[in-house]
Amino acid sequence: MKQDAIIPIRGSGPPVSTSHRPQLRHLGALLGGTALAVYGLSRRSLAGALMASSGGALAYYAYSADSKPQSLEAQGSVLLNCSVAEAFQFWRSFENLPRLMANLESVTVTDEKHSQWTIRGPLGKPITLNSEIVEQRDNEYIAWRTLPTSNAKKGSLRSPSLPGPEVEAKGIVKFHEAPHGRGTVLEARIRYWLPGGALGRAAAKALGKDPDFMMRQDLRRMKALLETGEIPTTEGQPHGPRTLFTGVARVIDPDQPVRRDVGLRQAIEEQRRAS
Amino acid sequence: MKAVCWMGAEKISVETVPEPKVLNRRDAIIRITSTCICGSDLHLYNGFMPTMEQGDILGHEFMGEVVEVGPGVNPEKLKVGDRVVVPFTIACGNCFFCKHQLWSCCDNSNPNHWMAEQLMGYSPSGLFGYTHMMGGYAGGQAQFVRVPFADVGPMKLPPDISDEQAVLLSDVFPTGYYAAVNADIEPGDSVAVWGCGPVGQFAIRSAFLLGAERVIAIDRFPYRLKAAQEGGAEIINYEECDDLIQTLKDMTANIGPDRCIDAVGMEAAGHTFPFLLDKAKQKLRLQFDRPNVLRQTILACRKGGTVSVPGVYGGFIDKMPMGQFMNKGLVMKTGQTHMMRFMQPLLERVQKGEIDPSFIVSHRVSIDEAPRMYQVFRDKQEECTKVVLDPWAEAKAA
Repeated sequence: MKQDAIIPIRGSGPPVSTSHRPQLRHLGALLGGTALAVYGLSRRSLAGALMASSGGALAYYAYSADSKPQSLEAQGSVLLNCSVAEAFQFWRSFENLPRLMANLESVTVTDEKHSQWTIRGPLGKPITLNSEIVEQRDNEYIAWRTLPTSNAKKGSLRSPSLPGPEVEAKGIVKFHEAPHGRGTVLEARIRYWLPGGALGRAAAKALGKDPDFMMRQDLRRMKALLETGEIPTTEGQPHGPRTLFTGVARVIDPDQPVRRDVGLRQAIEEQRRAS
Repeated sequence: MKAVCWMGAEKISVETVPEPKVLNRRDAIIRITSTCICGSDLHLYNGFMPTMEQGDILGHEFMGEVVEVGPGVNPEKLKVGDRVVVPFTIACGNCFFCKHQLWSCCDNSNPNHWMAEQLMGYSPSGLFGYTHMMGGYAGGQAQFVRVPFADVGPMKLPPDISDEQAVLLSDVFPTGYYAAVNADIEPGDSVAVWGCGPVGQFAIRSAFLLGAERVIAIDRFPYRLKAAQEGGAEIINYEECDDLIQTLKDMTANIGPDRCIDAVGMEAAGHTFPFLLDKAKQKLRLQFDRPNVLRQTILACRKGGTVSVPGVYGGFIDKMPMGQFMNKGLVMKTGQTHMMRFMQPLLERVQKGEIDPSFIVSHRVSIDEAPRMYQVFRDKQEECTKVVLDPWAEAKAA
């Protein structure tokens, strides 16, 4: 099979913004506003509350001012020591994917072509996407795209808790045999249209959670799972006394999704105690 | 349980921590009976390796008895009650690299692969007790340890092998042997070995096992040079010699040693100007390494010879004599030891009586004395060549 023949991603998505530069004015307002809000909250006083609310408003302004959907592309490839059929089958059973994709909470397959994906959006807010297989050739490729949900307006997917953002995605994953019995090469490419545009992306990058990185991590976990039957971990092993710094470092660990079910202080303390 | 923890540069303490649990299907828990301090632990002790965290359990040379296995461990390979020695590199056994016997390059054993990738561009295999970018696995200077992929690494031991012989098969003996293997020794060869620490001592003896005609050992500590001499080497105290490269040439009919082994690595000592410059740069964090020994091996090696580097390096180095390296047509071989290639053959050599690795052990102490022994080993006091810790012995009254 020809290596360079990237199968075009079919189906239409929202218009792709050509501007990739975050607007400095908005970024400043977002960061400043957020800092003010956090500081205000930490004061636990009337003045603090005022500070927090004005900071919050500023951050919201910045956020909404640049919330035009913007596209991001993630791609990655990995060498798997298994047959093409095994790799294809593993991926095609979409229920397997939450085991390796850090940001994917669950997948429910509804019929031969359709499935429902729940992902962790910004700050751990769940976003549900309906996915459809656009084209598939056994042991060669699977191409899919997201579909509008029935309760959202046409052409967009509304996250339940964010103002107006849309998340759409389409992707393709291809499989081919590596030379001389070296296994299977998997190449994946996903294009997202994310809320928050450049700002969202800048924030994601600041935390190290950029799409290419997440993709590489996901593929690495897939490799470990297929080749060894498990994903390596040190979570839960013993250690001596940790510092607070360790806890903070682990909460912002680029390989860990940000959780929303615990407070920040609790999360840091938990991470300091865990390994 | 008791565990030796890294609490910061030059801060080691024995802490009471929870016992390890099986976390993955192919894990085993080992009750440790003997564990060593390795020369490379001193790089951590001195604070030169990035991504250590306070509270990390140290140690990657250990052996013991299997007390628990996960449900995914192949029972033909390992079961509860087996007495095993555990290699310091963790390998999955089924990736491209493991299939090619490049065990220390395993692609699946480092859960923090991305950290190593960001710092170095690629990741080697996971290691026990050796920084978070190498996996962040809790180490074996403790009473118990968790061993991932337990049906790949650990080697079962026959009863006629003592703890002291066996524990040295976890890293230092195979590493010294691999250094000699990498040197491509041919009959008649002269081999120069820089550094007569534990790896150097094993490299000297392995060079003879592999057919070297003569070995020249280079160090500055008389007790180490004496041990090298006992291993059959000719010796040079480099502090007593004006021009090391010329001395080596003079000893080899003006052509230089056929094979040169750098068993020193990133924290080389020295007394020349380039060394002082390296030391200053390392202090200023302008480079991780002080590569003066590596330079010397390249300058000394005969044309078309081989430079073998078991010494540990951390990153970019300065003033590499690349012109000499290229024009002399040298070959350089290096890498963390592909342990599973060498453990079984070396065990057989020990059983046949070809070598008794326990000659290297100078100190046998309780785990409680670990903090002091790190300092003693680092500062080359008490003629310390190798420290074996007993995790279960009570500390002797000082």
